[in-house]
Amino acid sequence: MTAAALHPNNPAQASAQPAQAVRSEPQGRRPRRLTAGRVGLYAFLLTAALFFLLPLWIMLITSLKPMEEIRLGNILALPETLTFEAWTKAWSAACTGLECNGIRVGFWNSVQILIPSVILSIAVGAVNGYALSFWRVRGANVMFGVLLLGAFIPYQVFLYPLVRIFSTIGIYNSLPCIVLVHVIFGLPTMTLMFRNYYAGIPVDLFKAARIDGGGFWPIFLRVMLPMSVPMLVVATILQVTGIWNDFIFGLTFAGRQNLPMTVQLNNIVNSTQGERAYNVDMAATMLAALLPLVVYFVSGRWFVRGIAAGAVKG
Amino acid sequence: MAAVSVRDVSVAFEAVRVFNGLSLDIEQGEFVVLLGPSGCGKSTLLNAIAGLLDVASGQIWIGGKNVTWEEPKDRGIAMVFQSYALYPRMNVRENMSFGLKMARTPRPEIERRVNQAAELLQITHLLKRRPDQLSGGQRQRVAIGRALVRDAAVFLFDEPLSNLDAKLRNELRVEIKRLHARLGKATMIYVTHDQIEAMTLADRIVVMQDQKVQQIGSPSEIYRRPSNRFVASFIGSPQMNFISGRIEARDDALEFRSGERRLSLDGYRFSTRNVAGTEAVLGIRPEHIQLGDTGPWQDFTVDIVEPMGADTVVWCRDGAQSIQARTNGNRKVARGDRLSLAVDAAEVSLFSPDTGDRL
Repeated sequence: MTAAALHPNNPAQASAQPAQAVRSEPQGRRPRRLTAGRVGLYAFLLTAALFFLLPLWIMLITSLKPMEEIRLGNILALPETLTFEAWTKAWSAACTGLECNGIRVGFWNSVQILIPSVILSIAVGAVNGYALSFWRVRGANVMFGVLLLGAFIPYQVFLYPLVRIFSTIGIYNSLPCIVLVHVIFGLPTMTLMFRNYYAGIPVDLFKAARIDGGGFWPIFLRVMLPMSVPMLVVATILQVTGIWNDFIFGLTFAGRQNLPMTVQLNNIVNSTQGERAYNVDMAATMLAALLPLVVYFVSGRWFVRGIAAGAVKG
Repeated sequence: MAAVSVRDVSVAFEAVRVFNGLSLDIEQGEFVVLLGPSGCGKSTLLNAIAGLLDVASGQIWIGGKNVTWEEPKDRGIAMVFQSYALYPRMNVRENMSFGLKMARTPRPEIERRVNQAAELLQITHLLKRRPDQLSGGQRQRVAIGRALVRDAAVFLFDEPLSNLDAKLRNELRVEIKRLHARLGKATMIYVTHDQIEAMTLADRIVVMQDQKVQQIGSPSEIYRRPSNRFVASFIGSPQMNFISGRIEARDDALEFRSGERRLSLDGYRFSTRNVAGTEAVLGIRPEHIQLGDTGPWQDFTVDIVEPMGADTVVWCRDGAQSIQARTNGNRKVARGDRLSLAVDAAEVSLFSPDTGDRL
């Protein structure tokens, strides 16, 4: 049988080549690469990307301009004289209220809050998830339901009661206070994420570990935790960006000595004495956003997973 | 003294209560297979013995000790799972020594036992590999090795071969049997739904269905004298033939009659009395039927012929009644042939059509 008989609709291709050669090629009409729909799709995606990139771009070029250029009002124009003065000022000399030590104070405060909060919230969430998935705790479902409910209640509701509680026990306005707040509010999401992750691990593995003599902690530390690396990465990304970007908890619970970078940034931008130094404001904002940006660029794939996993977070 | 003794045990499984007081004694060194279809409770029973499920009532004794409320690790057991359940982040050596490390066994002793078990199972060359670098058969060998090093008195197997392909399954089955022979005093409890594994491995089979023990006996007892119709149909492939009819008295002797076909029950050992005149179901294994040109049961037509190499299974038909007979593989039989059957009356079983119990 010839190829022409097989493909009566495509005589040009079929008659030109022997049957053997045709058979090994993909058959049928080649799909067109560029259609109106495709063009529209790319146009939309490009517009959306520009829409989100434009503010970042304007911030970046404005922060590199001297004030004389900014006053001209061409916000899209590239800087004529490139200067990093605004960045150094924002880092070490901008005024947050009465003090003029720049945003670096806030940076170190944020680091101090971030590290214990991230480690503790993930640790507690992982243990919670492990306990709920593998150890048949009495009332586990009720506890899990309550935790989930906690994830959906707006934070603002808790602010005043928590302030009262913390001042009563005497830790209000301190580093432990703000860390504790972050751990508590990270708990529902972290527990949910780890519980779901551990639910995917075969229960036989847990049974084998129990027969091998592992108790609650040995099984967690030696069997489950080493298997949790992907989830730990996702949880770390989620918590680092979340806690770094927090404003309201820092403002409410951290106390004057420990105000995080976001609050310091707000103070810099809002303390207007004379002319508004747009380039310093922009530089300070860029500095405050640097860590989440780095995390984003370094761990793109994991970051998306983290966002998806944290979609329940209000 | 029994090595494992399950006494009047019930298990509360979420809202449902299974096994209403199940009892079972297993002798030291015995190989007992729990056999039954999915959901019959065989794995539940094994998990209860292992201590992975709490019992709602009753007691479990292992090695003369009441272990009903002991932790799994303190029961002197080792277990092998269907899914291998190897720790994915540990290599083979670490997998095998994990339990000993947990028990704070001295390091040289761990080394010695792991090496010994690895040699026995021929996995010494795999000791440094991680589970994801092993094939299914190798993984299950490692899992068996992990059980071996624990030096347990009782080994529990939960469908260990079900995830393997047919060839490997046969190989490892023989290996498990050899292992049992070599370990001598080790008691093994083995859960499976595969009747061939049960028949080949077991000293005693416990056939289960609907969370109840249907029959306990040696493989040959279970095969030749099934205690009810479920056991009779579950064991044996091709399946036992069932023919409905009644038992009649004739000249001081009993015979089974279905339509015009009769079978003398002279050699049959009844387990119940006063059966004359009652309805009954006759069970005949395919290999206890001889095909011939002449014979007591005539006028069967060959419906389907299934050659299996050593033997051939011939499906014969007479109206609505279909009968499978196993015959020598050399015999030439073709669809449409007319045949007569002769039944070996000493090997048949009779069941009550109402209760399904053996008569």
